[in-house]
Amino acid sequence: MSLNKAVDAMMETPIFAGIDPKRLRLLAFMSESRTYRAGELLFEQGDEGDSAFVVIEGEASVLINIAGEKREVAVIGANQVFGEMAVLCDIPRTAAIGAKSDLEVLRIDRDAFLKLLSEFPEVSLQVMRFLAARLEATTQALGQAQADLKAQKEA
Amino acid sequence: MEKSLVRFVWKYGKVDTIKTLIVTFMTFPIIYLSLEIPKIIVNDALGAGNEPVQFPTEFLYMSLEQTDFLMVLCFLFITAIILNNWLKFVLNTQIGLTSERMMRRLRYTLYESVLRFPIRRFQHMKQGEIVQSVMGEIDALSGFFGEVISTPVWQGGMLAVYMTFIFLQDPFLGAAAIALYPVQAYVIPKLQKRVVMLNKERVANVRKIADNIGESVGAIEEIHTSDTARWHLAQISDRLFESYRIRLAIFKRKYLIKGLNNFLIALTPFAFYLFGGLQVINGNLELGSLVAVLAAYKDVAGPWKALLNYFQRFSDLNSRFELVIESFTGDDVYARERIYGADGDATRLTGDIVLKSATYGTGGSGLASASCTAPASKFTALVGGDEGGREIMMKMMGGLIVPDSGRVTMGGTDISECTLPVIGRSIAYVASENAYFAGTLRQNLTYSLRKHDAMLTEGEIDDAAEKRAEAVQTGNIAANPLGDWTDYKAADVEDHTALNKRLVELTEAVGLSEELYHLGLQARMDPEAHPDLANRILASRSQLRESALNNRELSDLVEFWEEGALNQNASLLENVLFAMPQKATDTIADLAEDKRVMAALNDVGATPVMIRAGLSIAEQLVELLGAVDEDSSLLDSFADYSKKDILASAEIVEAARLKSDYQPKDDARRILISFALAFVPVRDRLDVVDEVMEADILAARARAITLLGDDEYFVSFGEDRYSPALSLSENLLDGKRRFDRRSAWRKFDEFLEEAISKGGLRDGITEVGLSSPLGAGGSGLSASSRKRGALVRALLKRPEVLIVDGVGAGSTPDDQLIRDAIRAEMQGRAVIMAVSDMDAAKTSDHVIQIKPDGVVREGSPSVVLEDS
Repeated sequence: MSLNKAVDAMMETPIFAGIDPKRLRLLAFMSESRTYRAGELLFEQGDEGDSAFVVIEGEASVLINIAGEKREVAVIGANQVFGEMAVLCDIPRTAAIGAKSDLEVLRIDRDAFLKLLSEFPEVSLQVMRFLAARLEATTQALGQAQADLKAQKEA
Repeated sequence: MEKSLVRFVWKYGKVDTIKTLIVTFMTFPIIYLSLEIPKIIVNDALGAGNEPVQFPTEFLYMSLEQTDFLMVLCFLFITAIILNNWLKFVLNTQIGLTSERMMRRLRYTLYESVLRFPIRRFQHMKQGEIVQSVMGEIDALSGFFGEVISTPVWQGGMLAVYMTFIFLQDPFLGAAAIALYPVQAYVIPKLQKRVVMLNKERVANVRKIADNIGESVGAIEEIHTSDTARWHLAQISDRLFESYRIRLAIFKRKYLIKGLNNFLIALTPFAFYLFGGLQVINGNLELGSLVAVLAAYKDVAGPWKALLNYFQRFSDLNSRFELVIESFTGDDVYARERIYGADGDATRLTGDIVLKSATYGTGGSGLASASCTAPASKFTALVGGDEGGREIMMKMMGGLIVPDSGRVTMGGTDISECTLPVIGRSIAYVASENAYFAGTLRQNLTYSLRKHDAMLTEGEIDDAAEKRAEAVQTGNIAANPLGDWTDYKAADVEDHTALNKRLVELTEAVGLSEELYHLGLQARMDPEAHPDLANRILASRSQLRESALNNRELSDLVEFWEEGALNQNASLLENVLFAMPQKATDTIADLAEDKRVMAALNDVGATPVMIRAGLSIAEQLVELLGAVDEDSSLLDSFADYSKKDILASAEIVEAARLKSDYQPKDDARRILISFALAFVPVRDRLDVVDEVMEADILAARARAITLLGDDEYFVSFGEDRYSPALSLSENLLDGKRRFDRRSAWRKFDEFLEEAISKGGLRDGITEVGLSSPLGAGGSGLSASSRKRGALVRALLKRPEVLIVDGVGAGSTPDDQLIRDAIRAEMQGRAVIMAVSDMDAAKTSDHVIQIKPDGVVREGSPSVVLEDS
C-alpha cells in the first residue's frame, strides 16, 4: 500500500479534509498500514483506545455487546474515520470494530498524532475546528431532543 | 547555590584557581627575563652599550670570550622562551580543566535542582526550557569559568611586567607608553555602549519590519481591493531607511573603535622613536634598551586587548549566569535532604492515610477542603472526581503534590515532610500514563528497586579511581550507573535468581506473561548467553517447517523467503545478501559502518543500487520532514532513520540535485547506504523499489548466495546456525512477519506455540522477552501492557499502600483480573484504587466518593453507594 492511497483517503474525511496534504503524508508515514481479513476484530469494546483508524478499502462493522452477543449496529465504509476520540483523550473503546470484508486501514497512533499536532499548530487548529463543529451539532441535537422530551411530557 | 559568578568560582574552584595563579606568577619572572636578555645581547655582547664590556667577562661564574658570551646568552634566551611557552601551555590546560570541572558541577547542580522541583513547577517550566538552560544557555560559560579569576591576574600581570620593564629602562618612555591608557579606558567603553544600544534598536526595527510584512500578507485582499499597495510600500520603505540609518551608525562606530585602538597603539612607538631616539643620540639611553622597549611594547598590545575583551565578556556572562541560577532556585524547591534522606533511616510509614481539609487548585478541577480517611490494610475504592479531584487526591496521598492548605498524613506523619526514600519505601503510585525508560523490560519492571547506590569500585571499572576523584572534586555522586542498583531487600528476595522468579510470578498474576512470550518471539537473543535454548530452537526447525507447509493460513501472516523473489516485508539488506552478519546491532542501519558488510555489498555489486535506493529514500524523507523543527522529538520517531542522519540528508539531496552524476563520499555515502539497508517496502511505504531496482537486487542476491554461502561471518537464511541478528521467531521459521498483518501476529505466535509445544521452549522465550529492549518510552509495549508493567513495578517493592489510578478501573474481565491480582498481592496492606465500575466498588472495604460539586463523602460501600 502506498502513502498516496492513504493520503487520498484521509483527504476525503471531515476531520482531515482541511489539512495540508503534505502534513497528512507525514502523518500517514508515521502511522501503520494494516490489513484485516473478514471477521477479524480490530479492537474490543472496553479496550484501551490508543489509536484512530482511516478506512482505505473495504468495510468495517461497529459491534455492540447486547446480552452477551455482538450485534452490528453500523457499517463504516472507505474514506471514513473511527476511533479518533481515543487519540485525543484517554477513554476506553465504546464499541468493538470488526472487518466486514477484507479491510485495509491506516492506523494512526496516539503518540504520532500528538507529536504532529504539537509540531504543526495549524493542524491542531483544524482538528479543533472539526471537534467544535461536531460539538455544536451535538449540542443542537441535544437541545432539540430535550425540547421534544419536555413537549412529550407536557402533552 | 551561589548567585554570583565570581563567588561560585571562588567557592568551588578555590584549589584549582590557586594552582592556576601559582603557575601564572611563575611565568612573570620568565617573561621579564625574555625581555632582559635581548637587551644584554645588544648592549653587552654586541657592544652597543655606553659602557663597553671587557672580554673575557665574568658571567654566571664563568669567564667568557665575546662569541661564547653571545652563545650563552642566546641559549638562555631560547630556554626562557621555551619555558615561557611551556608554562603557558600548562596554564591554559589548567584553566581548561578548572572550567570543565566547574561546568560539570554547575550542570549537575542544575539537574539536581530540577529533580528537587515540586511537581507544580513543571506546569509553568517546560521541558525544552529546562534542557536549554542546563545545556545551551550556559555553554558559553564553559571556557570562561577558569578565566574568571586567572585572566585578569594573568593578563594584568603580564601588562604590569612589560610596563615595569619599560619603566626600568626609562621612566620617561614608560610614562609615554601608558599616557594614552586612560583615554582608551574612557572613550572606548563609551563608544561600545552606544554600539550595544544601536544593536538593540536594530533588532527592534527588524521586528517592526517583520510585523509590517506579516500584516500586509494577512490583509492582502484588503490591500488589493482598496488599492493601498503604495502606502504599504511607503511604510516599509520608511522602515528600511531606518534600518539603513542604524546600521550605518553602527558601522561608523565599530570602525571608529577599531581605528582608534590601532591608532593609539601605533602612536606610542611614534613617541618611542622620537623621544627615545633623541635620548639615545644624547647618550641618555642605551640603544639596546630602546630596542628592548620597542619589543616589549609590541607584546603589550596582546594583554591589553585581552583585558578589554575580558571585561566585556564578564559583564555578559555574569548576567547570564545569574539569570539561569535564579530560574533554578526559589523557596519552593525541596531541600536536598528530601531526596537523599537521612543515613540509616529505614522508616516505613504505616497506618491510615488521612486528609484533613486538604485544598489544592481552584474550581471544579481542584479539590476544596477535602477530609477523608483511607484505612490501613483495607481496600479503598475511590469513585467520582473525574473532573480532576480524584487525580489530585491520589497524588496527595502519594506524596506527589503538597496541599495548598490542610494536611495529608499517614499514620500521623505529614507525608509532605517525609523524605523521598521514606515515601518510596511506603507508598507506590500507579497512574494511567507511566514513564518507561530506554532499556529492557526487566530494567523497566525492576525500576522501583533501582535505589541501592552502586558505588564506583576498583576492579569493576578501569578508571574507577579517576572517576571517583573527579566526582568528589565537582560535588557529583560517586556512583556507577552501570552497576547493580537493585535493592533486593526492598523486594524481599535474596538475589537475582529469586528476583527473576518473583518477576515471572507477578507478570503472570497481572496478565502480562502472554505479552512477554510475544515479545520474546520477536526479540533477538545472543545464542552464547542461551546455548540451550538456541540448540532447541534449531532442533525444532524441521518439525516446524513441516507444520507450516500444512497450514495454509500461515502465508497470510508470514512472507516466506524465496530465492527468486523480493521479500516485501524484509529490509533491503536481507533482500540483497539473503543472509545476516553473525552479530546483532541495534538497528540494521548500523551495519552501514560494518566493513565486512560493506565489502560483501561491493563484492556482489550491490553498492550502486543501494546508493540509488538511499537517495530516493533521502529525497522523500526531506520532503516529508523538511518543515519539521530540528529539535522536534518527532524526528526521533523513526527507529531505523536516526535524527542526525535525517537532518544531514537535506544537504545530500541538495548536492545530488545540483549534480547529475552525484557520487556520495564518506558520511553522505554511509547515510544513503544505511537508509537503503534498513528500508522495508511494506513497512515504510515510500516509493523506492521499481522494477529495474528489483531486478538489480535479485541479481546481486544470486551472486551473494554463491559468494557468502561458506562465509563464517554471514549466517545465510536456511543455514543450520542460530542467527543472532534475527528474531527468535525468524530463527524458528525462515520468513518475515507481514507488517500490514501486525494485528494478527498473535495467531502466528499461537501456531508457533502449538508446533513447538514438545520442545518446551515457552519458559525460555518468556525469559528472553524480559530482556528485550523496549524502545523509547516503552513503545514496544501496547498501552494496556504498559499499565500492567507499571503495576508490576509498584508491587515489586512491596509498599505499605498501593495507589492505583487509571488501571483496572472498569468492568471488563481483564480489569477484574487486575483487581483480583492486586487484592491477592496486597493482602493485609492498604490499596487505594480509582474504580469506575460500581459493582466492583461495592465489593471494596471502604469507599471515598468525590461528587461533581466537590463534596467528599466516605463510608462503607453500602452506605455511600446506595443513596447516591
